[in-house]
Amino acid sequence: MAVPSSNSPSLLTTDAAERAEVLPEAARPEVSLRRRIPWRVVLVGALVVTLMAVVPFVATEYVVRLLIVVMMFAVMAQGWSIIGGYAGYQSFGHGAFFGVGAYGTAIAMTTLHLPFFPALIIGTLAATLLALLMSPVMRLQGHYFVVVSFAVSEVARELVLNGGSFTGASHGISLPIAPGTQAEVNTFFFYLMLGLLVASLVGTYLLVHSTFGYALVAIRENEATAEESGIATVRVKLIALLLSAAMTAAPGGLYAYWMSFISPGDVFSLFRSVTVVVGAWIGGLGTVLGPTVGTAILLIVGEEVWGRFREASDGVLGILVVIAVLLLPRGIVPRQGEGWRLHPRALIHRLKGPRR
Amino acid sequence: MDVTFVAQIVLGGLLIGGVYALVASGFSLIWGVLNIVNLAHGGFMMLGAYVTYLAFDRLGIDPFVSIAISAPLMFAFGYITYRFVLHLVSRRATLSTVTLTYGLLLIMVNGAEIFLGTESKSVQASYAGASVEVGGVLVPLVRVMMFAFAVVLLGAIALFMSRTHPGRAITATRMDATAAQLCGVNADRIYFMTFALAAATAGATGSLFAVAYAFSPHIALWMLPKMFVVVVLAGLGNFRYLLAAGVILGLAETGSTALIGGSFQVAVSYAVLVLILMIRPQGLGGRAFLK
Repeated sequence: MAVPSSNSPSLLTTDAAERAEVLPEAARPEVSLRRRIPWRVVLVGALVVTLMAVVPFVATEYVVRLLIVVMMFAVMAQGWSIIGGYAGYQSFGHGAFFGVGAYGTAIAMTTLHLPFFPALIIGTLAATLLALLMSPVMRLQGHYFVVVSFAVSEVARELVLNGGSFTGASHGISLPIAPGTQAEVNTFFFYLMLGLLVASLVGTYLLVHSTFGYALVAIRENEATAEESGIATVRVKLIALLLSAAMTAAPGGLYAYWMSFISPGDVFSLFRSVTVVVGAWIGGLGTVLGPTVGTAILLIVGEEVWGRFREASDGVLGILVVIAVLLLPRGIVPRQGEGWRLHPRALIHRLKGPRR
Repeated sequence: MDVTFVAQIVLGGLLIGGVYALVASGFSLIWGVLNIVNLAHGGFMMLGAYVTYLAFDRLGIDPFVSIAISAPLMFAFGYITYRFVLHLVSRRATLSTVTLTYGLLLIMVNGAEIFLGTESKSVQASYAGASVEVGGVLVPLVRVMMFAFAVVLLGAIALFMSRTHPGRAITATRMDATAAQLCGVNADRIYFMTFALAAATAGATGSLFAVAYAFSPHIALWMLPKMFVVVVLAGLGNFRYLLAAGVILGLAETGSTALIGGSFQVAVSYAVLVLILMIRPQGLGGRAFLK
């Protein structure tokens, strides 16, 4: 649509033809917020999903269970990435949302005797409520948000631990067992988790390639400027936090029903929160696929390490984390515009990373 | 509630507050000057405690004297850790450094578990149980000594920061690194020294802690929330209120233990932290860190 201009043709118009009159090169279509569907990615994605769908029928129970856990963390990482990777608010306490989702679902099923899916919704809503309560914290600068998010997670765990019979305290909560044999249950949750993962990936993609997504990135790059440009930073950050909490809580509810038992130390653990952060970071902050890729790698490597080193597994994981931070400043999946160029200087440049 | 009971609680909180303040001083220094949230700081404290334990157990060295061993040892260890690992990422974003220090923490705790054992250790000096009764209140002398040493060390560091040339260089770098460099300060050397100094104070704190309490590798994790609370409460980069902040935390802990039971203690530390950050993020004396 052409913006009405003055008599002579001007570059400052949305009409490509008019711009071409002034300068032929300017006739290229402007970058728009119209989503250009990445067909190659969709195709590959469909292939991967189809392959995954076959897994429960060909792989061992161990693999199926491992993949459920990997997908669970991947969904959590995707959720984290909305405020962590895109808005730049890196929370070290996302385990809180997972835990609240798990406990919300568990309590809804045991105390309120609700069936699974309504209970899951309640769990997700509970986490969203927590995010709402936390929202004043987003006023604070980066470091402080890291600290407070961590603190909130710890407080949540302690509250649950001391919650008496309502929350099961240190004994945890036993949920009604899902119907079917062990294999059927695992298969059921495998598909549920897979569906959730695909939904989260598609959701992240849509979110990022929208005005909202641009607003998030603007906030990350320079919040003051974003505010000056007219972005309602407070509202945008709030919505991002709520979405992030919901996306992290859903796998929590699934986990609770799948395991049939949850305890505070398990679902509110710092390990969970940090795995999500490190995984998303290794995969590449600010990318759609990054969190999934990074978390998958981190968990599978971690599983291998635990299998081989047992007692030293924490230490070996620590060494791997240190090496990862030193060598991969940007993570694995490149952002738009970057790429893995094989020229040595480009590689060194990529390894060195950006200056702060 | 009778006076002696309250006095006992107050005394307990006060005495541990000194330790909290001392370990937080190093943490605050690293955060303020280097802009690194050093999750591994508790690790240096833990190692200092083990040095004291080993010195006492194998060589019979008095724990308070062993500070002269643990502090320089941790200074060296901190210097090496910073120079060859952390400095490489010092210019990167916060998340990189936090993740890196988390990795270091894992290595330290797990390493200690493997090489030093997971059981609790304690240092039982000959004067361990000595106490004096003052007006019905039991005053554990060892803890008083611990507190006294902590206060002296804190004072020494504060004096170092304000009166000596290297100390003032550090303070200047904290205020404005570029301006400090323009005045001839070698920023890189300052960074090395600050981290090493902070590690040394953590080591000293560990030694003091070992005198009065049992410990295991897990104190590295256990101290983390306390350090955060004290630093935030005092105000980032601010030395003046550290002791007060440490004591406040100590009192909050002992007070809550007496009132609502010990199981809430950890939650109380964190809840205090969240409250402070919501209500007054600059703490008692720091700059406001609102966006």
